[in-house]
Amino acid sequence: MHEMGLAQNILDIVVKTAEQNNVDKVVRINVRAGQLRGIVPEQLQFCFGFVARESSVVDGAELVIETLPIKGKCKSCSHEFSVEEYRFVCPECEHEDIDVLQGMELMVSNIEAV
Amino acid sequence: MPIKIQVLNNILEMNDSYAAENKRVFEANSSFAVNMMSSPGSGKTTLLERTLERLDPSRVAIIEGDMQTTKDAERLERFGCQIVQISTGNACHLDGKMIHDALADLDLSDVRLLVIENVGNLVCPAEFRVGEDAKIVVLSVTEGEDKPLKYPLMFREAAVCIFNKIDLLPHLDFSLDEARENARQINPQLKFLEISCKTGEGLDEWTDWLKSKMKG
Repeated sequence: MHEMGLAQNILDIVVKTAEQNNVDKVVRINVRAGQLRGIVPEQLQFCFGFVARESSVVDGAELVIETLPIKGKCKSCSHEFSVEEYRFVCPECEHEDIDVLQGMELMVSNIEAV
Repeated sequence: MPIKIQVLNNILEMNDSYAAENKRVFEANSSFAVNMMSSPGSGKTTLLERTLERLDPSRVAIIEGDMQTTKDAERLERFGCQIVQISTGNACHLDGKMIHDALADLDLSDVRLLVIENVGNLVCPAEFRVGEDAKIVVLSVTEGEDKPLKYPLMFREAAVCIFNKIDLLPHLDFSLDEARENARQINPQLKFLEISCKTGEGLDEWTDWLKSKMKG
Protein backbone atom coordinates (compact mmCIF):
# COMPACT_ATOMS: atom_id res chain seq x y z
CA MET A 1 0.00 0.00 0.00
CA HIS A 2 2.18 2.83 -1.24
CA GLU A 3 -0.57 5.36 -0.54
CA MET A 4 0.52 5.30 3.11
CA GLY A 5 4.05 6.37 2.20
CA LEU A 6 2.75 9.07 -0.11
CA ALA A 7 0.35 10.32 2.58
CA GLN A 8 3.24 10.65 5.03
CA ASN A 9 5.27 12.58 2.44
CA ILE A 10 2.33 14.91 1.79
CA LEU A 11 1.95 15.51 5.52
CA ASP A 12 5.66 16.34 5.85
CA ILE A 13 5.42 18.87 3.02
CA VAL A 14 2.25 20.44 4.43
CA VAL A 15 3.58 20.67 8.01
CA LYS A 16 6.77 22.32 6.77
CA THR A 17 4.85 24.80 4.62
CA ALA A 18 2.48 25.58 7.49
CA GLU A 19 5.40 26.27 9.83
CA GLN A 20 7.17 28.50 7.33
CA ASN A 21 4.01 30.54 6.81
CA ASN A 22 2.90 30.66 10.46
CA VAL A 23 -0.59 29.39 9.78
CA ASP A 24 -2.89 28.20 12.57
CA LYS A 25 -4.90 25.67 10.66
CA VAL A 26 -4.67 24.05 7.25
CA VAL A 27 -8.14 23.54 5.80
CA ARG A 28 -7.46 22.21 2.36
CA ILE A 29 -4.57 20.62 0.47
CA ASN A 30 -4.56 20.49 -3.30
CA VAL A 31 -2.62 17.65 -4.84
CA ARG A 32 -2.03 16.94 -8.52
CA ALA A 33 -1.58 13.35 -9.59
CA GLY A 34 -0.84 12.31 -13.14
CA GLN A 35 -3.01 9.50 -14.45
CA LEU A 36 0.00 7.23 -15.00
CA ARG A 37 0.67 7.27 -11.27
CA GLY A 38 -2.39 5.14 -10.76
CA ILE A 39 -3.31 6.84 -7.51
CA VAL A 40 -6.62 5.78 -6.01
CA PRO A 41 -7.87 9.08 -4.51
CA GLU A 42 -10.08 7.45 -1.87
CA GLN A 43 -7.18 5.34 -0.62
CA LEU A 44 -4.83 8.29 -0.47
CA GLN A 45 -7.44 10.38 1.33
CA PHE A 46 -8.07 7.58 3.79
CA CYS A 47 -4.37 7.19 4.54
CA PHE A 48 -3.87 10.92 4.78
CA GLY A 49 -6.75 11.28 7.24
CA PHE A 50 -4.96 8.73 9.38
CA VAL A 51 -1.44 10.19 9.29
CA ALA A 52 -2.66 13.79 9.62
CA ARG A 53 -3.73 13.05 13.20
CA GLU A 54 -0.14 13.57 14.29
CA SER A 55 -0.34 17.29 13.44
CA SER A 56 -2.98 19.42 15.12
CA VAL A 57 -2.45 22.10 12.44
CA VAL A 58 -3.24 19.69 9.60
CA ASP A 59 -5.62 17.21 11.23
CA GLY A 60 -9.04 17.38 9.59
CA ALA A 61 -7.85 19.22 6.47
CA GLU A 62 -9.51 18.20 3.24
CA LEU A 63 -7.23 16.49 0.72
CA VAL A 64 -8.30 17.28 -2.83
CA ILE A 65 -6.71 15.23 -5.60
CA GLU A 66 -6.83 16.43 -9.15
CA THR A 67 -6.03 13.68 -11.63
CA LEU A 68 -4.24 14.94 -14.72
CA PRO A 69 -4.89 12.98 -17.92
CA ILE A 70 -1.95 11.74 -19.98
CA LYS A 71 -0.66 14.05 -22.71
CA GLY A 72 2.04 13.04 -25.13
CA LYS A 73 4.26 14.70 -27.67
CA CYS A 74 5.51 12.86 -30.73
CA LYS A 75 9.30 12.91 -30.93
CA SER A 76 9.10 12.67 -34.71
CA CYS A 77 6.49 15.24 -35.79
CA SER A 78 6.06 17.16 -32.49
CA HIS A 79 2.31 16.63 -32.55
CA GLU A 80 0.77 16.96 -29.08
CA PHE A 81 -2.17 14.76 -28.19
CA SER A 82 -4.04 13.18 -25.31
CA VAL A 83 -3.11 9.57 -24.75
CA GLU A 84 -6.28 7.51 -24.57
CA GLU A 85 -6.30 4.05 -23.04
CA TYR A 86 -2.53 4.12 -22.59
CA ARG A 87 -1.95 3.98 -26.34
CA PHE A 88 1.40 5.70 -26.86
CA VAL A 89 1.26 6.07 -30.63
CA CYS A 90 1.15 9.38 -32.51
CA PRO A 91 -2.28 9.77 -34.12
CA GLU A 92 -0.75 11.93 -36.87
CA CYS A 93 2.28 9.98 -38.04
CA GLU A 94 1.96 6.69 -36.10
CA HIS A 95 5.43 7.18 -34.64
CA GLU A 96 5.86 5.30 -31.35
CA ASP A 97 8.48 7.37 -29.59
CA ILE A 98 6.36 9.61 -27.40
CA ASP A 99 7.41 12.00 -24.66
CA VAL A 100 5.05 12.19 -21.72
CA LEU A 101 4.16 15.87 -21.30
CA GLN A 102 1.64 15.27 -18.56
CA GLY A 103 0.59 12.25 -16.54
CA MET A 104 3.57 11.58 -14.27
CA GLU A 105 2.98 14.43 -11.80
CA LEU A 106 2.73 13.83 -8.11
CA MET A 107 2.86 17.11 -6.25
CA VAL A 108 1.33 19.27 -3.57
CA SER A 109 0.34 22.29 -5.64
CA ASN A 110 -0.94 24.50 -2.81
CA ILE A 111 -2.54 24.56 0.60
CA GLU A 112 -5.37 26.69 1.93
CA ALA A 113 -5.00 27.84 5.50
CA VAL A 114 -6.29 30.27 8.12
CA MET B 1 -11.30 33.58 4.50
CA PRO B 2 -8.54 30.98 3.99
CA ILE B 3 -5.37 32.07 2.29
CA LYS B 4 -3.83 30.02 -0.50
CA ILE B 5 -0.15 29.18 -0.23
CA GLN B 6 1.70 27.95 -3.31
CA VAL B 7 3.76 24.84 -2.63
CA LEU B 8 4.54 22.96 -5.86
CA ASN B 9 6.56 20.30 -4.06
CA ASN B 10 7.15 16.90 -5.61
CA ILE B 11 5.73 14.33 -3.21
CA LEU B 12 8.49 11.89 -4.14
CA GLU B 13 11.28 14.46 -3.90
CA MET B 14 13.03 12.77 -0.98
CA ASN B 15 12.87 9.37 -2.67
CA ASP B 16 14.10 10.75 -5.96
CA SER B 17 17.08 12.45 -4.34
CA TYR B 18 18.11 9.14 -2.73
CA ALA B 19 17.64 7.47 -6.12
CA ALA B 20 19.88 10.07 -7.77
CA GLU B 21 22.54 9.47 -5.13
CA ASN B 22 22.32 5.68 -5.63
CA LYS B 23 22.70 6.18 -9.35
CA ARG B 24 25.92 8.11 -8.77
CA VAL B 25 27.24 5.19 -6.70
CA PHE B 26 26.35 2.69 -9.46
CA GLU B 27 28.04 4.85 -12.05
CA ALA B 28 31.16 5.45 -9.97
CA ASN B 29 31.59 1.67 -9.63
CA SER B 30 30.59 0.85 -13.23
CA SER B 31 27.83 -1.39 -11.88
CA PHE B 32 24.81 -1.91 -14.10
CA ALA B 33 21.77 -1.92 -11.81
CA VAL B 34 18.53 -3.66 -12.69
CA ASN B 35 15.33 -3.41 -10.70
CA MET B 36 13.33 -6.60 -11.15
CA MET B 37 9.63 -6.36 -10.54
CA SER B 38 6.67 -8.68 -10.87
CA SER B 39 3.60 -10.11 -9.17
CA PRO B 40 4.23 -12.56 -6.34
CA GLY B 41 4.99 -16.03 -7.65
CA SER B 42 6.05 -15.03 -11.15
CA GLY B 43 9.35 -16.88 -10.74
CA LYS B 44 11.79 -14.00 -10.16
CA THR B 45 13.96 -15.86 -7.67
CA THR B 46 14.18 -18.99 -9.83
CA LEU B 47 15.07 -16.80 -12.79
CA LEU B 48 17.78 -15.23 -10.67
CA GLU B 49 19.13 -18.69 -9.75
CA ARG B 50 19.32 -19.66 -13.44
CA THR B 51 20.93 -16.29 -14.19
CA LEU B 52 23.60 -16.68 -11.51
CA GLU B 53 24.51 -20.12 -12.91
CA ARG B 54 25.45 -18.37 -16.14
CA LEU B 55 27.39 -15.40 -14.75
CA ASP B 56 30.56 -14.94 -12.69
CA PRO B 57 29.17 -14.57 -9.13
CA SER B 58 32.12 -12.43 -8.05
CA ARG B 59 30.86 -9.83 -10.53
CA VAL B 60 27.28 -9.86 -9.30
CA ALA B 61 25.59 -8.47 -6.20
CA ILE B 62 21.98 -8.85 -5.15
CA ILE B 63 19.66 -6.76 -3.05
CA GLU B 64 16.73 -8.91 -2.08
CA GLY B 65 13.49 -7.24 -1.05
CA ASP B 66 11.03 -9.34 0.86
CA MET B 67 8.25 -8.33 3.18
CA GLN B 68 8.87 -10.86 5.95
CA THR B 69 11.09 -13.82 5.23
CA THR B 70 14.70 -14.35 4.22
CA LYS B 71 13.78 -17.41 2.11
CA ASP B 72 14.64 -15.85 -1.25
CA ALA B 73 18.05 -14.68 -0.04
CA GLU B 74 18.75 -18.14 1.40
CA ARG B 75 18.07 -19.73 -1.99
CA LEU B 76 20.66 -17.47 -3.59
CA GLU B 77 23.37 -17.74 -0.94
CA ARG B 78 24.95 -20.89 -2.44
CA PHE B 79 26.17 -18.90 -5.43
CA GLY B 80 28.60 -17.01 -3.23
CA CYS B 81 27.82 -13.54 -4.54
CA GLN B 82 27.23 -10.61 -2.23
CA ILE B 83 23.63 -10.49 -1.02
CA VAL B 84 21.86 -7.95 1.11
CA GLN B 85 18.40 -8.75 2.36
CA ILE B 86 15.94 -5.95 2.99
CA SER B 87 12.92 -6.92 5.05
CA THR B 88 10.38 -4.29 4.20
CA GLY B 89 7.91 -5.29 6.91
CA ASN B 90 4.58 -3.91 5.83
CA ALA B 91 5.93 -1.87 2.95
CA CYS B 92 5.00 -3.29 -0.43
CA HIS B 93 7.99 -1.94 -2.35
CA LEU B 94 11.63 -0.95 -2.10
CA ASP B 95 12.39 2.75 -2.18
CA GLY B 96 15.41 4.92 -2.78
CA LYS B 97 16.37 5.17 0.88
CA MET B 98 16.21 1.41 1.49
CA ILE B 99 18.58 0.85 -1.42
CA HIS B 100 20.79 3.69 -0.22
CA ASP B 101 21.07 2.03 3.21
CA ALA B 102 21.66 -1.40 1.68
CA LEU B 103 24.54 -0.07 -0.40
CA ALA B 104 26.48 0.55 2.82
CA ASP B 105 26.71 -3.26 3.19
CA LEU B 106 27.95 -3.89 -0.35
CA ASP B 107 31.34 -3.49 -1.95
CA LEU B 108 30.53 -2.67 -5.55
CA SER B 109 34.10 -2.11 -6.73
CA ASP B 110 34.25 -5.44 -8.64
CA VAL B 111 30.52 -5.73 -9.20
CA ARG B 112 29.41 -5.23 -12.79
CA LEU B 113 25.80 -6.25 -12.24
CA LEU B 114 23.60 -5.32 -9.31
CA VAL B 115 20.25 -7.07 -9.27
CA ILE B 116 17.59 -5.52 -7.08
CA GLU B 117 14.78 -8.01 -6.58
CA ASN B 118 11.81 -5.91 -5.63
CA VAL B 119 8.85 -7.00 -3.52
CA GLY B 120 6.31 -9.02 -5.50
CA ASN B 121 3.77 -6.38 -6.47
CA LEU B 122 3.00 -4.68 -9.77
CA VAL B 123 1.69 -1.37 -8.42
CA CYS B 124 3.88 0.19 -5.77
CA PRO B 125 7.43 -0.65 -6.90
CA ALA B 126 6.84 1.22 -10.16
CA GLU B 127 6.27 4.46 -8.25
CA PHE B 128 9.59 4.49 -6.45
CA ARG B 129 12.78 5.01 -8.40
CA VAL B 130 15.82 3.50 -6.75
CA GLY B 131 18.43 4.81 -9.18
CA GLU B 132 18.40 1.72 -11.39
CA ASP B 133 19.70 1.69 -14.97
CA ALA B 134 16.87 -0.54 -16.13
CA LYS B 135 13.57 -1.80 -14.83
CA ILE B 136 12.73 -5.39 -15.72
CA VAL B 137 9.16 -6.61 -15.43
CA VAL B 138 8.61 -10.36 -15.19
CA LEU B 139 5.18 -11.63 -16.20
CA SER B 140 4.50 -15.33 -15.91
CA VAL B 141 2.17 -16.80 -18.50
CA THR B 142 -0.12 -18.10 -15.75
CA GLU B 143 -1.19 -14.47 -15.26
CA GLY B 144 -3.55 -12.60 -17.59
CA GLU B 145 -2.69 -11.01 -20.94
CA ASP B 146 -4.32 -7.81 -19.66
CA LYS B 147 -1.77 -7.26 -16.88
CA PRO B 148 0.01 -4.51 -18.86
CA LEU B 149 -3.24 -2.56 -19.21
CA LYS B 150 -4.00 -2.95 -15.52
CA TYR B 151 -0.55 -1.82 -14.42
CA PRO B 152 0.44 0.69 -17.11
CA LEU B 153 3.12 2.54 -15.16
CA MET B 154 5.11 -0.62 -14.55
CA PHE B 155 5.13 -1.50 -18.24
CA ARG B 156 5.67 2.10 -19.36
CA GLU B 157 8.81 2.40 -17.22
CA ALA B 158 10.31 -1.02 -17.94
CA ALA B 159 13.12 -1.58 -20.44
CA VAL B 160 12.60 -5.34 -20.67
CA CYS B 161 9.51 -7.49 -20.25
CA ILE B 162 10.18 -11.16 -19.55
CA PHE B 163 7.43 -13.65 -20.24
CA ASN B 164 8.30 -16.40 -17.81
CA LYS B 165 7.23 -20.05 -17.49
CA ILE B 166 6.62 -20.38 -21.23
CA ASP B 167 6.94 -24.17 -20.90
CA LEU B 168 3.38 -23.97 -19.51
CA LEU B 169 1.95 -22.33 -22.64
CA PRO B 170 0.58 -25.57 -24.16
CA HIS B 171 -1.59 -26.02 -21.05
CA LEU B 172 -2.96 -22.48 -20.93
CA ASP B 173 -5.17 -20.15 -22.95
CA PHE B 174 -2.61 -17.37 -22.50
CA SER B 175 -1.92 -15.57 -25.79
CA LEU B 176 1.63 -14.26 -25.98
CA ASP B 177 0.69 -12.11 -28.98
CA GLU B 178 -2.11 -10.40 -27.08
CA ALA B 179 0.05 -9.82 -24.01
CA ARG B 180 2.83 -8.43 -26.19
CA GLU B 181 0.41 -6.16 -28.04
CA ASN B 182 -1.02 -4.84 -24.77
CA ALA B 183 2.44 -4.06 -23.43
CA ARG B 184 3.64 -2.59 -26.73
CA GLN B 185 0.87 -0.01 -26.91
CA ILE B 186 1.97 1.33 -23.52
CA ASN B 187 5.67 1.10 -24.27
CA PRO B 188 6.59 0.58 -27.93
CA GLN B 189 10.30 0.51 -27.03
CA LEU B 190 9.88 -2.41 -24.64
CA LYS B 191 12.17 -5.38 -25.29
CA PHE B 192 10.50 -8.80 -24.94
CA LEU B 193 12.12 -12.04 -23.82
CA GLU B 194 10.40 -15.41 -23.54
CA ILE B 195 11.90 -17.66 -20.90
CA SER B 196 11.41 -21.04 -19.31
CA CYS B 197 13.56 -21.66 -16.26
CA LYS B 198 12.47 -25.30 -16.48
CA THR B 199 13.73 -26.03 -20.01
CA GLY B 200 16.30 -23.24 -20.16
CA GLU B 201 14.69 -21.71 -23.24
CA GLY B 202 15.48 -18.01 -23.63
CA LEU B 203 17.97 -17.89 -20.76
CA ASP B 204 20.97 -17.34 -23.01
CA GLU B 205 19.27 -14.41 -24.71
CA TRP B 206 18.56 -12.91 -21.28
CA THR B 207 22.10 -13.33 -19.95
CA ASP B 208 23.53 -12.09 -23.27
CA TRP B 209 21.47 -8.94 -22.83
CA LEU B 210 22.77 -8.51 -19.27
CA LYS B 211 26.36 -9.13 -20.39
CA SER B 212 26.00 -6.54 -23.13
CA LYS B 213 25.18 -4.00 -20.42
CA MET B 214 27.94 -5.04 -18.00
CA LYS B 215 31.17 -3.14 -18.42
CA GLY B 216 34.15 -5.50 -18.41
